[in-house]
Amino acid sequence: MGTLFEAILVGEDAAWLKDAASQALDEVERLDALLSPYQPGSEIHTLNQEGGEGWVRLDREAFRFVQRSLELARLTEGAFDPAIGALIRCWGFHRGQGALPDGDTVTQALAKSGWHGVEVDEAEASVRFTVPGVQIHPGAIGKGYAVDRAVVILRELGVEAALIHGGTSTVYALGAPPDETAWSIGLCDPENRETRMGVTRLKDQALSTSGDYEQFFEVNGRRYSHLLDPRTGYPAEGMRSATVVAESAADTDALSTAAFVLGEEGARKLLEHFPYMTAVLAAAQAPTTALFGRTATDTLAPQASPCNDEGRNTIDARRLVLLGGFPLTLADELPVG
Amino acid sequence: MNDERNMSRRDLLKQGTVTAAASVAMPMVVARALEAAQDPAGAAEKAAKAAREAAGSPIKIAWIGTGVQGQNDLKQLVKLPGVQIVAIADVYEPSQKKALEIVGPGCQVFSDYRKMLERKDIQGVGIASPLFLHAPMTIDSLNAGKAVYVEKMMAYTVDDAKKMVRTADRTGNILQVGHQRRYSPDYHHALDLVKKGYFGPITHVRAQWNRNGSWRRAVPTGVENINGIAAERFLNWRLYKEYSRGLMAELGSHQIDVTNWFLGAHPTAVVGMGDVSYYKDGRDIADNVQVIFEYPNGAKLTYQSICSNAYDDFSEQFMGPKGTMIVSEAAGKSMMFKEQSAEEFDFAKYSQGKVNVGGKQAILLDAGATTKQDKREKTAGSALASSGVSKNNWALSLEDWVDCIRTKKKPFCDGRVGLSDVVCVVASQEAMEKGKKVMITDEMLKV
Repeated sequence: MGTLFEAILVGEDAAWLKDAASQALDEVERLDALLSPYQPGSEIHTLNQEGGEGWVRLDREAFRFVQRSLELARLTEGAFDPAIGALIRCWGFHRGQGALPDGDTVTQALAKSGWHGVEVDEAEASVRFTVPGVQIHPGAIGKGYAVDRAVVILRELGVEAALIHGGTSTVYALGAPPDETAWSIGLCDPENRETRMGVTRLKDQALSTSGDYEQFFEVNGRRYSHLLDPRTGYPAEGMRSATVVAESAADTDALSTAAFVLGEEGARKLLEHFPYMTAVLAAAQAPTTALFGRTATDTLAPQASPCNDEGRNTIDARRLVLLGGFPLTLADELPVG
Repeated sequence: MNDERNMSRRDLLKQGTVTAAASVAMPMVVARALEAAQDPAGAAEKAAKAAREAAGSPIKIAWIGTGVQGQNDLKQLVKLPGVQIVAIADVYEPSQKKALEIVGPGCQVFSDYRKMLERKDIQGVGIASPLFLHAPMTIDSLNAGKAVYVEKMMAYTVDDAKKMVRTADRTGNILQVGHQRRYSPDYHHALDLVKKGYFGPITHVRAQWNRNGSWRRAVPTGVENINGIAAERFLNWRLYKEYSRGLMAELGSHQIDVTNWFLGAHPTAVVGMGDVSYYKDGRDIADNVQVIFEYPNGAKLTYQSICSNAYDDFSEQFMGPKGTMIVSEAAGKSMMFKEQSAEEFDFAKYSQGKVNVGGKQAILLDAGATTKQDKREKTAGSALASSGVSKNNWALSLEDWVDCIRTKKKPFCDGRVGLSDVVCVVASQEAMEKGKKVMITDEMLKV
C-alpha cells in the first residue's frame, strides 16, 4: 500500500502474539496484492486496464470493496470518490509528489473522473466504466479496509487488545489495554506536528485523520495538498485536518477525506447518512466554534490550552469543530513522538 | 513434446503476431495473454473469452482444501467464464466459511472429500491440502473420473508421485500440477532469452526464497483439537515432517522446477545442509536450508531458504559467460546484467529501460519485449507504451487447466513435470538429513 502498517498486541504469550500480528499483517499484504492500482494482476489494476472495454468480473471481495466505495461516494455526494485515478495522476500524487498542472489538464482529468462513470452488476460481481478513461484509485479507503480485515483476523484468533494502524492516519483500537478502559490516541496538531491538539480514547473503534500536512507541494507560497476535491479537480481548501471516528476503518478513512473536502457545513450533513460517526475538524482560517451531532454535549466543548509544556502555539481552539460525541480532551496526556 | 504443445506453436506461428515468443513451447493461455498485451483493444482475449462462453454448459469444479492457498485458487477460478464451483471439501469449518464467501451461494460443503467425489456431475477437482494428503486425494479423484489440479509440491514421496502419474495414465484423466511459473508470460519470455543464448550457456543458477517470520500460525484461543489432531499441529502442518517437507517443498520446489525447465535438464546429484537454527519452538522442519544441485553439463544450482532474514526475498538468477538474468514473480524485479567483456545485449533496446542496481547498469525485463520486436517494425512503436500482461500466473495456470478439461488437451505442467520436481526435493532432504551427496538417477524419474 506504499505505507507502513504496524500492530501492537497485548496479552500473555509474546510468541503467540507475534505470530498473530504477523498473520494480521499478512492480511494487509494480501489486500495490497488484491487492491493495488499499481500492481499488475491485482483486481483493481485489471479493472482499470479492462473496465473501459466492457464488464470485468472481479472476485467477490474486490467487488464488495468497489461497491462499498461507490456507496460511500454516493452518500458523500462525491466528496469522497474512488474513481479519481485520472485526477491523482494529473496532479502527480501517485508518485508521492506533486506538480501544478495547467487548467486544461485538470479539466480533461476531471472529465475522466467520477463515480458516476462506474457501473456495477451485483449478480455477476462485475464492474465496467461508462466514461472513457475512468480509473479506480482506492487511496482514500484501501488502508482503512486493510485495517478492518486485519482486525477480523485478530478477533478470529482471540486477540483481546490491539492497536493497528495504516500510515498513522488510520487506526483501529481493538478492546483496551489491561487495566484501561480504552486506548489513548493522540491527534496531531496540524499547525505544529511536534505537538498534539488533543487526545481521544477509543475502544473497538476506528479513527482516521485527513490532513493537508502529510503530502503537499507549494507554488508561489500557496499550498496544494494531496487531498483533491473530486468535484472540482483541485486540492480541497479551507481545512487543515479532519478526523473521524466510527466502527469501521474503511468508513473513517473515506469519511475523513469527505469531511476534509466538505468543510464544516458539508460535514454536518454527513451526520444524516452516518449518524454513528463523530468528527473533529480543524479549519484553516475562519475562527469557528461549533458543536453538534447526535451525542454532542457541553462537556465536549474544546478547552483552549497549549498542548506542550513549552507553551508553543498550537491550534486555536476556535478553529476546531466537533461533530457528534467526539471523545476529545485538549490535553497532552501522551508523550509526544 | 506432445501434440498439444506443437499445436499451440503452429497456431502461434499462424497468428504471426507473436512469432518470436512462439519459438518456445508455451500453453495457449500464455500465448493469448502475450498477444492481448500487444493488443490494447483486446481482440484476442475477447475472442478467447467468447469462445469459452460459447462452449456450452459450465465446467463443474470442486475443491479440496480451502485454507489460504485453496482460497487463492478459488478466487481465480470464480472469475473464469464458463466455470461453476459446485462443491468444496475441508475438515476445518473456518476454512469452509471463507471459501463460501469467495464462491458464493449454491456450493455444496463437505467434510469428507470422498463423499464429494461421489457427485457424478463434478468434472474437475482442485487439491490444496497439506502435502502428505496430495497423493490419496489425487488418486481417489482420478479414479472417480475427475480431472485434477493438484497444488505443488505434487507429492510427499517419489513413490506417491509415480502412483499419481500412473493413475492419470491409466484413467486417461487430466493431471496438472500447480507450478504456476510455467504459465507466466514473463518466465516464457525469460526462457526465450536463455535459449537465444544472450547469456551464453548457463553455467550457474542462484535462487533463494528468504523471509523473516516464524512461518507459524497462531492457534485461535480455546481451540485444542481440529479433526482429531492437536490444533497447533493441524494449523502448522508445514512445520512437521509428518505432514510436510518444509522449505524445499513449499518454496524451493517452484524454483527448482524453473531451473530444470530453463536448463532443459534434470540434476544428477545434490548436497546440502539444513536444520532448525533459529526458531527452536518444537518444529522439526528446518528453518535454514542451503543446497547445491549439480546438472549433467556441470552447471550448478545453489539454493537458499531461510526464515530469519528476508534480504533478496525470492528470485532465480541465471548466470552465463555473457551475462546474468534475474527472474522473479515480484513485479519489477526481473532484470539482466551484461558481463563487461560481452557485447551490448541486442534486446536492450526492446526492454523497459535501464536502471542502476548496486552501482551496475541493469536492464529491466519486459515480457512483451520479444513480441514487441515484431510489432515495432510493423507499427512504428505505437503500442509500445502499453503495459504487459495483467493476468497473474495463478489465474493463467487455472485457466489452462479448465481449457484442458474442455478441450481434452494435455496439461503443459503435467504429472511428469511434478514428479521430476519431487525427485529433486526428496533427494535434497535426504542429502541434508544424512549429510552426504545424494545421486539422482534416471531410474528415479521412471514412472
